[in-house]
Amino acid sequence: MIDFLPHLDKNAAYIWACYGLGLVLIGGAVIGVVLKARAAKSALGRMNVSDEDAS
Amino acid sequence: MGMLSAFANPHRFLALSNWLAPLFYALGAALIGWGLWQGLWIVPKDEYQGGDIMRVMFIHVPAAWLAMASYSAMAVASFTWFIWRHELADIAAKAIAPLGATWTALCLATGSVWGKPTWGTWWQWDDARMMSVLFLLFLFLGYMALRAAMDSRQKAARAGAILAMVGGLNVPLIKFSVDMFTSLHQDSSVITSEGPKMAAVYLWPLLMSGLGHSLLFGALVMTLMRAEIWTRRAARQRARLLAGA
Amino acid sequence: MSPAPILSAFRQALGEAWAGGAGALLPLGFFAGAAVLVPLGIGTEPGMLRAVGPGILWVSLALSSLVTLERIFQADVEDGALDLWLQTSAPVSAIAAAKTFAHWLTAGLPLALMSPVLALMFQAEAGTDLLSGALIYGLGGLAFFFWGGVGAALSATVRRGGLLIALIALPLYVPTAIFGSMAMSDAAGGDSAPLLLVASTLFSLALAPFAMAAALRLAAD
Repeated sequence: MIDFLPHLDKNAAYIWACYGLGLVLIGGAVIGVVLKARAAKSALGRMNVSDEDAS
Repeated sequence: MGMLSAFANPHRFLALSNWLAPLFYALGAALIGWGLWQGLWIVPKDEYQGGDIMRVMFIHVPAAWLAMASYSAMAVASFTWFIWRHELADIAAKAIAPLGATWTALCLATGSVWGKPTWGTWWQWDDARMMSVLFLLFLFLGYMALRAAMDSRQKAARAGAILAMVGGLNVPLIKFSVDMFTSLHQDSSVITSEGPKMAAVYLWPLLMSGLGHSLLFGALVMTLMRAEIWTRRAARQRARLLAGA
Repeated sequence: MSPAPILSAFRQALGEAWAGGAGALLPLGFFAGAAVLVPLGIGTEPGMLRAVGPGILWVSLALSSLVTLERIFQADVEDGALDLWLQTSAPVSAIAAAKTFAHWLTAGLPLALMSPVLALMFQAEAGTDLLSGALIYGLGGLAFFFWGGVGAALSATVRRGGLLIALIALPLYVPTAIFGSMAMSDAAGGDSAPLLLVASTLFSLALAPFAMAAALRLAAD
């Protein structure tokens, strides 16, 4: 079932660690940024209910 | 010229980023995905570079590129704000910092993990680029800490601009001194698989990964800028309400 | 433009350093203490001490410059001296430079003058190299104090900004630390290193005062 994963040599753990770090850090950045933007948008919306500028 | 006004006018920026950011997210993800597929499955391994471990370059090298480029972008944005006082320029600098720090940290971490099986150590003082990137991380963190310590947005903008410009002017000097320092020692980094010498089968995934990371980074910067614009608007509304009441 | 405000800022900074009693002796004590503790920590083998001595002295010089930087501008912000200077016709950058130079005279130059003694304790060979070494430490210290001054000016309004100053200053210290330790060693880079050290110090002298001035104007607002 896990045959679709690439077959890496002896350093496989290090390679997966690097890409795992990338996933965690970059994924975390994306999630954090998107959540922050959503929170800011809704806060502005609450501030001014009919704010058409929040485009 | 019309496009450029998107950089000075928050309204136009919001309109532009409304479609540009999602496009960058999609393109960035696609290119990164392609680069990953190539890097992990398709490209042959190179025993001279240590076998499979050199596949790490497809995430480490783009991270290094972004670390350097994002600091320059932050310095340019700060300079732009300092001269023309376009609020968007300050918002851009503020947005770039935490993202630049993230990619810089990723570069250092992946570099360290790459180094362990290659050199036997988790940190290699003789690698000029890793040293430079380490100092770049300090520059980013110092910038963020300084802005956070200021009382008002305006002061944070001014303080940040001063520091970013001083840092920006020092980066070439820091890199030069670090290069001198590490060139004293014989073995240069094995992680110099860049340059025209690199075979196309490695170069294309690397370049596409770099482009993909850059686009994703740009999308994230735009999103953070949008969040900051909304936050500042809400704050102004609040201030107006309090003043009116 | 009269030089009076610049000179008075200079004299005031000098006075402050000595009036604090132990104030100017603190970096000296730090320098000596750090340099003395290191052999206790890493061992006394002469060859090793000779090799690491210059590096240790540079680190001590950098750290002890940071020790005294926190108060250099903060007191002026608090007691209104900064506002007075901004009202004079003298360029704020010159006033900032004068203060920083005075600070170096009281806390940096003595360390450079002490360096031959410490170098001997680190098993350096006695000779004229010790004197040129003092000159090198003097020049390097000047750069540390000027870049540190930028950090201090930016942090002048921050309560207990010592850590922030260190974080800001550390990357800026790197070229001086590298060129300085290369200048002190016999290794390959030893010839051009003193010139590079002079160049990077001049760069700091040229740039830092303007950054300090901008930061001080910000602190006064």
